Amino acid sequence: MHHLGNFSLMAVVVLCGYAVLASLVGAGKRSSALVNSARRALIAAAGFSALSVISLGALFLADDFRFEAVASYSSAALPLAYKISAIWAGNDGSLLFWTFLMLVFAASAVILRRDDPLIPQVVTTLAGVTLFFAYMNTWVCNPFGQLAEITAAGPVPFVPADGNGLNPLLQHPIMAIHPPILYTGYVGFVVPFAFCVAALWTRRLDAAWIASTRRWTLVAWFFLGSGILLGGRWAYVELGWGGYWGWDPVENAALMPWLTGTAFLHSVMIQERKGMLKVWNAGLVMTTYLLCVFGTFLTRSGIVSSVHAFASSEFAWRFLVFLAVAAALSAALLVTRLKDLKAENELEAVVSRESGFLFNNLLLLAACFAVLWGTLFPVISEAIQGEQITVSAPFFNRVNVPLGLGLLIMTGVGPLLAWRRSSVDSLRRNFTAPTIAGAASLGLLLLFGMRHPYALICFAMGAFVVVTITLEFHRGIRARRAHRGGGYLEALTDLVLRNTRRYGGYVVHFGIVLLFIGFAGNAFNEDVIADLNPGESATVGPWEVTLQDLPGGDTPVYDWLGAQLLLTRHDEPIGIYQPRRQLDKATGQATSEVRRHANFREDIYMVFSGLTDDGRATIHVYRNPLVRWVWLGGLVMFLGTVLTLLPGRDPRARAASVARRRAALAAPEVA
Amino acid sequence: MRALVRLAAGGLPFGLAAALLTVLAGPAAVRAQERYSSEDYRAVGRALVCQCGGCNALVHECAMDRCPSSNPIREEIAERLQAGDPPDSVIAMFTERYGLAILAAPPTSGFHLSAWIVPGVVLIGGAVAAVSLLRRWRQEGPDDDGAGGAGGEDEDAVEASAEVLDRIERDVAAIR
Repeated sequence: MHHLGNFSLMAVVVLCGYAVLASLVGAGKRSSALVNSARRALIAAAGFSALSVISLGALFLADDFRFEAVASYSSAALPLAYKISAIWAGNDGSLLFWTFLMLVFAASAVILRRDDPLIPQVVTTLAGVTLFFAYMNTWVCNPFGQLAEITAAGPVPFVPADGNGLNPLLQHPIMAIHPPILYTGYVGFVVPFAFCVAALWTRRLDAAWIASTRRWTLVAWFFLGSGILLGGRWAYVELGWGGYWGWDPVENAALMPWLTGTAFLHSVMIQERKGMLKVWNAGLVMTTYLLCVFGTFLTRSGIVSSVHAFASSEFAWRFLVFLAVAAALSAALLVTRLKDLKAENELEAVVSRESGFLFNNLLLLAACFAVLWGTLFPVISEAIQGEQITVSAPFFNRVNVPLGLGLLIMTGVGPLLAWRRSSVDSLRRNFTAPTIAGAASLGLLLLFGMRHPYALICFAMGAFVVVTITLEFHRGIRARRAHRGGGYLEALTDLVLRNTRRYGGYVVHFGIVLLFIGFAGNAFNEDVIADLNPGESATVGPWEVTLQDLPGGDTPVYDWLGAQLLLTRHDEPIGIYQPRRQLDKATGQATSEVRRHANFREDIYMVFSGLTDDGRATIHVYRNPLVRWVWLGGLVMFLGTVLTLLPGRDPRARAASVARRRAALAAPEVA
Repeated sequence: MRALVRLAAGGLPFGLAAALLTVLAGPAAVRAQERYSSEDYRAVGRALVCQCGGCNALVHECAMDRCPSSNPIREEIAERLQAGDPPDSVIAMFTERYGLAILAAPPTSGFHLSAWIVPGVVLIGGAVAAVSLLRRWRQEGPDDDGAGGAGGEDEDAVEASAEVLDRIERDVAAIR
């Protein structure tokens, strides 16, 4: 199988190389045959890439420990699902999987947008980017490398009896799907990037490229966000430190393009409606994709220390060169097209939806910069001061929490501002109810004794945003009923289905509010660490855990020791929970199996940290309020994004579609 | 015991489950020594990073069993605080021993102050740029009454434009 895998990898390189050349020549000579040939080469490359992934998967399934990837990340006893997920557990395999997913996106784009006038340059860009990754996979981090023992006579093939096994922390259902989802988000931004480059390249700088790629951007943004949230969920239930977000460099690497992607999804509306912010939007798309590549570099280069990162890689400089070249070319393209990117309209008033989007973008970009700055500061400090420092959660929380609250405020304020210009009357009319709701929430919370400033702002603004969204739906339904009659529910359905983009967006905003409510819960976290003998207890708030027993046992995969805890609240028994320590037999790695008592009010998160020298059980109990709202918020955002992706019956969307079709009809066959 | 846990969680009548759990709990529990529960301890434990070289966890949150780094640090923090050392001096003591790398956030002095200042400068710079951009763009225009709140989405206008768009679509169909 490895021959097939290697052959497929080389085929990907050849096909991508051919696609670059053929699309360039085809565009130059206006030859649709050559451009189509390049397009098909890219599709074929996706097929060969799939073959390569299947070949690697077959080696894992066959427990073929001749291969370094299989021996390092799998074992004979590993369950089937994890043998499959072990494909992307290592650096080489994950890069192969990354390339495969990128080619799937590339092939889908050139199939679905085959009539787009930008397609020759899109193919060149997609194939060029993929060529680099395919080159890396084939010659630099080839996942089909075999183990060898160095002897006096030279290297001799070496086949271990069994593999090292998969890190037990990665043997979790979420971890089986988290990397593919996250990678899909990362690589998905290659399509808007390619269309943006093509638009700049050909100077077709109207909103057509944006309309062509809006759904692609949303899909990538959706997967990236889902991947981030799933990663948080995995960290929470599996790592045993009581939190879901640790501001680890690898987490930050995923957050940064998500932030810039979010900025783009907002600012793009100004370009669609007003023909403004063209340079900004092109810059955002490019930055987002480059941050995706940067994230890959950050994960694999070892330049920053991370619990999730692959080991330091000798291949880092190649990524850096690629990143530098891509950034330089993107910047050059943007700068040389500045004249063509002039705004078609001007802003009419400072207090308007347009300015709201501008400040929303400012906050998102500032948050992205703060994350980037904090992530790289240890490297900068070491380069300048020669001393290693750490930048961890306390820094990121202090810098980003105010920015996050600013964004929450903009989530509420933005939709209340009118396009073009908001009059005093409209401001008064639109802001009254949400402001009353926010102020009432603030007053109530103060009355009940809440004093944490960030939490107060968060809850008050949450109420403001929820009322804003509710009023948006209510006004729309009222207008729909006035126009067409019918019941409230019928009008709601009609309203939403007519403009899935707008109302799906509001649902996403509602999800953001829920997410922030969950984040605000962090302000009230409590915890206790106690060394317990059986019969002894520890308390956190009104909760008490009592150690009853220390049962133990073993399975074919691991040995375990549990701490049987009785959880009571105000002396009322709630349940028996058994957090565990497990020792994986294949890897020798000890892990915590957390147990939680969770509801929408709070999580009681119980960790058995181990035994003290005198045999007492060290128990860490966290009381984490409102964590479940984070997962609920994620789910609502998921539903909102799906709604946004549905084809709406909105006249404006239809207009965009018609404009695209007109442009396609008017355009020459190839650029 | 596993069967009992499943029973308790799996929907036994609440009273019965509560009675079972109370029996399992035995006599009134004895309060254990809670080593790391003071606010000062948490503040120090969250200002320092585990030095095991891999996990990057805050000392208070490091979940590694018998971690050779965070466990002794935790013990020492608790001891020193119990001995009456103020939190700042405990942090300073660890910084002297391990270097700045043990701090979870950069110091707020010297070169490292830039870590804190630069994001703020960028935000303020961006805000100034955005405001000046808005001022440059601004021109006199008719008032918009903001109908519909959601950015002046006027339903009637939308309906009217729908008719025009339907015509455009028919035109396009005719062109094809």
